[in-house]
Amino acid sequence: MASWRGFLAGLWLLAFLAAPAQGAPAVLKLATTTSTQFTGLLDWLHPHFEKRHNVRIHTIAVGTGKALRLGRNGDVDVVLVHAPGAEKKFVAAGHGVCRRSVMYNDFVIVGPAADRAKILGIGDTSAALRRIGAGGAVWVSRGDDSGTHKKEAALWRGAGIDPGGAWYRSLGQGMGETLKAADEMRAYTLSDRSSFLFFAARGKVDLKVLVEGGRELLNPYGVIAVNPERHPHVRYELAMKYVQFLVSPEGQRLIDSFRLKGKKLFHPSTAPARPGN
Amino acid sequence: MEFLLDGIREGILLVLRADPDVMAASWVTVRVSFGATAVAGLIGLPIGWALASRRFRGRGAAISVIQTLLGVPTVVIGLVVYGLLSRRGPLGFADLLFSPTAIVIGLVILSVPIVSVFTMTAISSVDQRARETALTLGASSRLAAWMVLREARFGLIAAILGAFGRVSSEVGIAMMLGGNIKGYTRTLTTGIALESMKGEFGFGIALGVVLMAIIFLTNIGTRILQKS
Amino acid sequence: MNIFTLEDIQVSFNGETALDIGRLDIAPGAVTALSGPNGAGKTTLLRVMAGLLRPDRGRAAYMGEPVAYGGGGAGHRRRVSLLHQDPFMFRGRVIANVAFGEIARGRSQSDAEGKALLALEQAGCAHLAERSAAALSGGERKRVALARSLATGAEALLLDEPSAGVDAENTGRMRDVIASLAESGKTIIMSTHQPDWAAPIADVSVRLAYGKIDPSG
Repeated sequence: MASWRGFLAGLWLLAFLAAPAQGAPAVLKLATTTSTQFTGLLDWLHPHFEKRHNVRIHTIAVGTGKALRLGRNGDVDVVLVHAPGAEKKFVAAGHGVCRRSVMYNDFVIVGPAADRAKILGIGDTSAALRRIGAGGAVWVSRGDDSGTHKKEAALWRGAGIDPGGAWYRSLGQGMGETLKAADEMRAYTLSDRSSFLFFAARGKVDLKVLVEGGRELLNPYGVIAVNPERHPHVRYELAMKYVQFLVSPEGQRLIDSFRLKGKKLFHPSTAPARPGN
Repeated sequence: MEFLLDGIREGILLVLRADPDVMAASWVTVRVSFGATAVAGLIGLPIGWALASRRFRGRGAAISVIQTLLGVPTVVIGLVVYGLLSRRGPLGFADLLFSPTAIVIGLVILSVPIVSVFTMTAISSVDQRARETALTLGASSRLAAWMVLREARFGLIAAILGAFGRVSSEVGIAMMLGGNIKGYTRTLTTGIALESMKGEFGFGIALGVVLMAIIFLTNIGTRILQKS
Repeated sequence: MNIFTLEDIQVSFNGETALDIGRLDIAPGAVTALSGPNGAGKTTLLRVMAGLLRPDRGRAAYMGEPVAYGGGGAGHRRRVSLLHQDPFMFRGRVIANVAFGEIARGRSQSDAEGKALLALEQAGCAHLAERSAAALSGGERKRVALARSLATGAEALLLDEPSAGVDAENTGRMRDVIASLAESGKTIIMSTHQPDWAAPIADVSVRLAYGKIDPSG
């Protein structure tokens, strides 16, 4: 008898824990990459959107690959990622609709000031990578199927190198851990500029930008609503409002004005909304 | 060294100032930890009792299975529950992924084996004579079972406390099933993971201080209960 | 009428026969001493009679009724109480331990403690009532446990090695207490490995060897 009552009490407790608060605002689930979250960009953008539409954005910050998988599984309503190739495949396969360019920054190859591979000032990214691959230096890779990792793999392919061996260390971790590991190992790595500035500006890592500026180093971010035909439960209308907010003049202006310790980390996509992009 | 001390100082200041982000993560942690421990107790105590006191077919196999589950890494539990709760999974319709309930489900799976095994050990370590003594003095079998539980009560409390300590300090399940959503599913541990990724020592330490305080207060509370 | 009648009782543990009794009758109001070496089956026999161990086969009857085992056996276990060789004490005070049987029978706390005190006096250890049960010496535990069985009002007391673990001075007192219980009408069945100690008060002696009744005993 007593145990039966205890069981009911437990069920009640579970229900209490599970029940959403009454009258709570609608929830939009966003899967995004870590760089947009920990730089504080989303904390800067989202309050404007949340207030206007009485909505709570639940941000799940993971690598780009994982974010797209969450979208494919219908576990989120909208994704904000940075891997144009993968994004296009995602849309072509019907997992998402209405991909829009939101903003960009660029990737940089960073490494210790000592620069054993002597790549500082090399304009050609591929040439710089070949020197690192030639030996003597250590490269740290995200190795986590993130947008940065996908970009890195493409750059190695472009340089004609199939990286591997003792000098190539695949971490399987986020950008912050990877930068810190590169710092500890006196190694080279690829980082998006916003993450690098975030860590360098606060003295968390002692690395220098050694290669930058090539066209192939551009890092565009895109937003995609999850396809409601695949996943009828997604909050498609809300997702579309979010997409429109990011590419609207207001959203673009907010991105343009975002600063971290005085540094500009993201550039709004200058191109106005182009249907079918 | 200064780096570390600065972090600790900043952490303590954040706690003293009742920083809203620290408070929010603390509240989520308290909710999911108490919830998961309560549910795990309701499931694990009877399982442990049955394994210790009943002789049934498959008992040895059941003990082996539960002892194996004790060693399952939390990320595996996270993955399996993710597979169940994902929209593509069998329970996707319930819309539980990335919610505190999802964390509770994962933590219950983590802690039921802990409670069961601790309970089984506690009850087995009570002399078999406790039951026989109660019976031969005229107790019903229900009262005799109760007397055994009563004799094992310190072990049972240890089982619950052990589960609480484990779930409140767990990070993989909370991260994978909760999604580390600020103010909603960000627990102290996933918050610490995020802050350490950002290199924010102070905030991470603030969260760690609160986490230890919660576990400490729970232990103290239990001691007082035991004495009374 | 016999108080206990056992027929064709067999018990085995892990395939080894521990008890194999063709027939045993025990008279009411008598003191029966079970003797025999260690492993002869004395404790097993007492547990069968106490309703704590269901024999693999055979019939055990108490006052003409089959002994009930398992969950439904509280009726039998309220008439017959077993005192273990090394008694177990519940956490708490001695008086609470001794009152347990009456509480289990639904008596009020004060009634139960009143009876418990009487039983403690009968067993010669009323001075231990307020002690913590965990702090008792081996010999004290034995006497308190006897009081505890006594307080249940059971008609038959099964005592497993009542003199073992009791120092020389107190073995005599223990025997006197048992004798006075028998005089008051209780049926006593006790096992012992010291037949000489039991002889002065035993009305009947049964010798066990290898689980069987030794006809020469």
